[in-house]
Amino acid sequence: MTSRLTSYQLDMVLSELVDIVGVEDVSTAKADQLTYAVDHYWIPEMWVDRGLEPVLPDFVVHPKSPEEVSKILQLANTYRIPVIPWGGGSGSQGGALPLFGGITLDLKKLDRLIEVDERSFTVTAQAGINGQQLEWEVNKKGMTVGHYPASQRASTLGGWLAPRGSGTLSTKYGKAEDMVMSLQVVLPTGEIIRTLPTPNHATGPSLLQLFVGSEGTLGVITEATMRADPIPEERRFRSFLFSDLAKGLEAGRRIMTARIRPMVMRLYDETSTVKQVKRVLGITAEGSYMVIGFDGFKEFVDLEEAKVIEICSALEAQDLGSEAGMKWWNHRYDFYFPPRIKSLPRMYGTTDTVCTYSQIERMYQSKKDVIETKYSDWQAYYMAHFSHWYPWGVMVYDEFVIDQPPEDPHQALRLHNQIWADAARVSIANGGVLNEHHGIGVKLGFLMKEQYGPAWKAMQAIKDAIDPNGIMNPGKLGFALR
Amino acid sequence: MGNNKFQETIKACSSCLMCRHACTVGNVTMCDTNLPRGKALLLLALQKGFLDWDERAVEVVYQCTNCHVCREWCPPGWDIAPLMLAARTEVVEAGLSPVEALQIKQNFESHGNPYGEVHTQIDDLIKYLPISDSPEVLYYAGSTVSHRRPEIAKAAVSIFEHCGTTITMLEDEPDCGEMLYVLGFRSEAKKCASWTLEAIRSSGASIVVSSDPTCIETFRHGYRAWGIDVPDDLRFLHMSEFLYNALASGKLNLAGAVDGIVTYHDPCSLGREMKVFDAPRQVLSAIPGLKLKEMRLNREHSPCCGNGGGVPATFPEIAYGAGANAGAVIQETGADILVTSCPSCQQSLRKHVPGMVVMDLTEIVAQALPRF
Repeated sequence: MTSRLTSYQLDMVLSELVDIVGVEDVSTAKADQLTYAVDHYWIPEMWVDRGLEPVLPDFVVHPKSPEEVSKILQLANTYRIPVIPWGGGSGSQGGALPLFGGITLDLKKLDRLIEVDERSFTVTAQAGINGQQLEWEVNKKGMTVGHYPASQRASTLGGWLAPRGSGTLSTKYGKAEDMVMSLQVVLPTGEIIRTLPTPNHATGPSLLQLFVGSEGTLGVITEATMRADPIPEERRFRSFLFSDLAKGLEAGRRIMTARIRPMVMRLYDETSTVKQVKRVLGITAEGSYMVIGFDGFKEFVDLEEAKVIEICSALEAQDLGSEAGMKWWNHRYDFYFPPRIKSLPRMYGTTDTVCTYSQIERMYQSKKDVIETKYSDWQAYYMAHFSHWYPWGVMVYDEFVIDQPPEDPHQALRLHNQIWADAARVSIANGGVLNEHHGIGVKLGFLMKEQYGPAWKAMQAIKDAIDPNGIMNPGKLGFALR
Repeated sequence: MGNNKFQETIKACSSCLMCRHACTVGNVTMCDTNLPRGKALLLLALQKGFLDWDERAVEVVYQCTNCHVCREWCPPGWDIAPLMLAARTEVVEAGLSPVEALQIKQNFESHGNPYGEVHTQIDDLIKYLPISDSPEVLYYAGSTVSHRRPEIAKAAVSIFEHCGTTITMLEDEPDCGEMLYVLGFRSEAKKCASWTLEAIRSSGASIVVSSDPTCIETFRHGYRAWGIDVPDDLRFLHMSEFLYNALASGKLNLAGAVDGIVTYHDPCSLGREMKVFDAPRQVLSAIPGLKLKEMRLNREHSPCCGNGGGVPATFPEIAYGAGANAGAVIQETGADILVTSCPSCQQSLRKHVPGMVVMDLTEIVAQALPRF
């Protein structure tokens, strides 16, 4: 799979691709190859910034139907060439990069809204539909998809599901994996299949959840049915300042284990608190800042808010009122635009993980220690917030930053990967996982065996059975090349 | 491409995808190369030396409707369109212009307008204008009204007459040159600008009114940005602004009813570029019998009709697709009448809103004038 097409092989594949999708929907132009060679992973962005050419796909193809996808996968099996599904290209883990060339399959022409079931509160659409446009379509019926990732305007429905993505309101509404009901998938060998019509059943293991999180390594997601939710009549925010992070984490634990269901709860560590409070309130504050939101019927919101105030007061939190939270909500995407979003020339990474409440403080401290101690020569710094809360634990959205990384791209790449390896290994050692909602991609693939241990054999066996020639997104999720 | 602002824009847009949902061309081609991010990456790759001006690279920089809708969804306001226009000048200098762009340039050279048209009904209109030694207003039709939507000029003349405003129009009216500029032919565009300003000056009027917002935007902002001196005593008003002023001063009496539900489409150059959003809405609201229903996307976020940036000439299928996307948003309103304030928008959108009456603001106001 790592060998590249040569000589007339390229023209043979090109002519067959044109036969499948038409000449307008295949490109071998350098401008298109370059566009689809860079996603939101730091490495290719840095590579181009330093004047080096990234790895290019041989072909960029825009199929318009699952049947065209199927034919392309059959062609790829004939020639043993890689196929890399591409949605919005906004992933941060390198999951859509053409590591070994091949066919990049841009799925955005599969963008049809198929059905909004107003009785069952579900929506069915093709996988290439844009996240914001899907939300607008559902809004017309008085509903919301309820999935608000930072990438909502950039990403696609399929792109939410492929890496088990998450949105701002996941604490109440769940991650994409919790919202999905069924999928249409084109298997690597070309069969077009559907998972069972409902996500909950006693009809064997979940085929649905096998494909959710498969990051294009087990097939191409071409359609999904998602749960939708009513647009709430009331949406309200409150924010608090705790004396330290430990008290904030304890408040979050008490709220969640009391089975209160805030739509959002974001708790910032001491480093982030200084920046965040300055940004939203314009004041200097120390401690641990929490913004929490509630939605639904007004009476429910009143009750949840009262209970949360009670819990936070017992932990001596300062009540900062409602304005800051609403301001954050209304400007929640602003932080993701340049220059406010972390960008080159800095080196940065979000090493998010999740673990139980029993482990979380040790997890946070261990990761902070490894970043700030081992990489002190590079003045690496660490900051975190806790923003996806479960009944049993919480996700830490932690980031490392080096303001002045090595100029040499090769040295920069090695440093970047070493930091990632250290941070991810600390996550595993403290009862966490390699990643909570950005996925694995190429970035973390090499650690999958360490994460899964002996269970990895079962994962690889599934991959080999479904994708015997290893054509699907090779080099991702840690699967062996064929 | 050398200036700092452009370099900062390339850096910002090449690492950001947050306007994908709104990109006029990206929503037609569904290709990431057409997004501001793809365009910025393309310019970066050209600078870094691993891309040359090949056929596709040239295509991409000409596949931008210059609509600026991406900028309006971007809180910091990064704007890729000016970089596309600058890149086109490089393409022109390299002798790689698309044949359709060269055809338009040739049309200008042979006939003085982008359409290559010889005759216009505007000439007949001018013949019957009352002669005034000191006209208050020069009504500048612009090439699209002159050669594609002369009804708008006729409606405008009737409105001026109703308001008691003395006007003049230009025989052999020179084009404002905007089309040449956006296609990368900057020296030719500047020649047009000189001729047009000279003609305007010789008209004797100090207020120029046009129903074409692209012309007004070019007069107000474009010429100075091109390095052309524009006399300070000249005022340029879009027809919607003239109508709003006439309404406010009591000169315009909209007593004639037009029944129906109307929705209003903000043209890119009038809305996003000149921030004229309220004047046309105020005028529409003053027409008895009309009920204004806003689109889901309006004002700064109004969908582009596709007829900008020279795209209808160079990539008509993209312009058509953009018009269809805009038409779908318009039709969601269920309105009976679509009003816009730009002849190019009207040209595009009338193909995409079956069952709706499509009018320019000037036309619907003329229809609402009292009948005696």
